[in-house]
Amino acid sequence: MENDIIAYLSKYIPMTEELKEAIIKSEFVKRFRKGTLLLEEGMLSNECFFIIKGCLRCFYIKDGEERTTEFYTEEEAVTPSAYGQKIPSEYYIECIEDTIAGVGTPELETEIYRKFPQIESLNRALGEAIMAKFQDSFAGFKMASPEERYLNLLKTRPDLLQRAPQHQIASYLGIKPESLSRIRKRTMAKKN
Amino acid sequence: MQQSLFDFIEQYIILTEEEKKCITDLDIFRSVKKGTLLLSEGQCSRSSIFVLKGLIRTFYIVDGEEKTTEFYAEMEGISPPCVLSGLPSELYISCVEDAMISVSDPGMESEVFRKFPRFESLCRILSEQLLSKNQCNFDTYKTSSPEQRYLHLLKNRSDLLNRVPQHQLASYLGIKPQSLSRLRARLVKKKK
Repeated sequence: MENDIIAYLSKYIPMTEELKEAIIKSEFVKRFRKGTLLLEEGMLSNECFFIIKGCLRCFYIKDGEERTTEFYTEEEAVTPSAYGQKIPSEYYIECIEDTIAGVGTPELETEIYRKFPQIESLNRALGEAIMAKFQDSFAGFKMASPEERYLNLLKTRPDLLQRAPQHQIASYLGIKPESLSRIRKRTMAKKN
Repeated sequence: MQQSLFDFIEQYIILTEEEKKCITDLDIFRSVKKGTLLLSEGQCSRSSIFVLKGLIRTFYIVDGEEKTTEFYAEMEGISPPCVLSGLPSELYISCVEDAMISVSDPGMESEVFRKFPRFESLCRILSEQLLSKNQCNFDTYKTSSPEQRYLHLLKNRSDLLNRVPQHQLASYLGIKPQSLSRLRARLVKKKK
C-alpha cells in the first residue's frame, strides 16, 4: 500500500532510498471499511487523508437532514477545515466505500518536512493546485443552475454517479432527489 | 507600506534583516485606484495578489451580468486559477476601494523560496489556512438559505456591509438585489 504513495510522489519529485524507507517505515497507510466515520461533528480533527483507493464523503447535519458537501476519490487529499486547530469539526467524513488512505497528523507532517524539505515544497505546490481547482468549483456552483451543475458533474466526475447513492448526489448538487431524477430523465431524453 | 506586510508575516516567523531586504528589493508593492481592473476575462496572467490595504472583488460575467464570487480585504490574497493553468482568465478582479497590494508571480516566488526556504513553509501554512477558510465558506453557501448566508456574513464579515455596494453583496449571496433589501427589512423588523 505504501508503494502507491511512493509511485504517486515519484511523479513529482525524485524518489530517494531514504524517503522510500521513511514512507514504508511510517506505516501511515490504513484501511477503512465502508461506512466508517473518519471525523464527526464536535470532534477535534487531528488527521488528514490521502486516498489511494476508495471514496470519502463530507456532510453536515442541518435540521436533522444530511447535507453532502463534497466527495473525494483516488489521489485526492482531504484536509478537514478544523485540522490541527483547537476547534471542533462542524461536519462528518464518511467512507462510502472500503477505502485505503495515507493518514497524516500535524506532528507527522512537521517531522517529514524537517527531514525532507522537498515534500514541503511539493505540498505547497499541490496545495496551490487544490486551491485553484476549489475556486473554480465554488464559482461554478454559485453561477450554475441545478441542471448545469449536474451536466458539469457528468462531464468532470462521471464515476461519482456510479459510486454514490442518488440522494447523496442530489444533496451535493444542492437539489432534492426528485429534482435530480427529473433532470436525469430530461438529459437522457435530450440525448435520444 | 511594507511594514504592514512585515507585521503580518511576523505573526508567523520573525524576519531577519536580510529577508526584509529581499522583500523590499522585489519591488512588489502597487497602489491602485478604486475601480481599477486588475484582471480581465481573456487575459493571460501569472500574477497573484495580496491585499495590504483596501478591498478587491472577483467576479465573472455570465449572460451579460456580473456574478460576484468573493471579496478580499486586508491581509488576504488570491491566486487566480489562470496563474496555474496558463490559460486565459475567465475571472475578473477589480478594486472596490483604493488599495495597496503586493503582486507576485511563480518565477519570483520560486527564486525567493530557493533563497529563503522559510518563506515556502510560511506560504504552505498560509495556503492551508486560506483553503480551510474557503472550504468553510463554500460549505456554508451550499448548506444555507439566502437568509442564513446573510446572517453568516453579518456575523463573520460585517465590515463588507459598509464597504460594498448592495447589488454586489446580493450577487455574492446568490440572490437578487430586491431579495436582499426584503431580507434586510425582515431582519430589522425581527429585531424590534
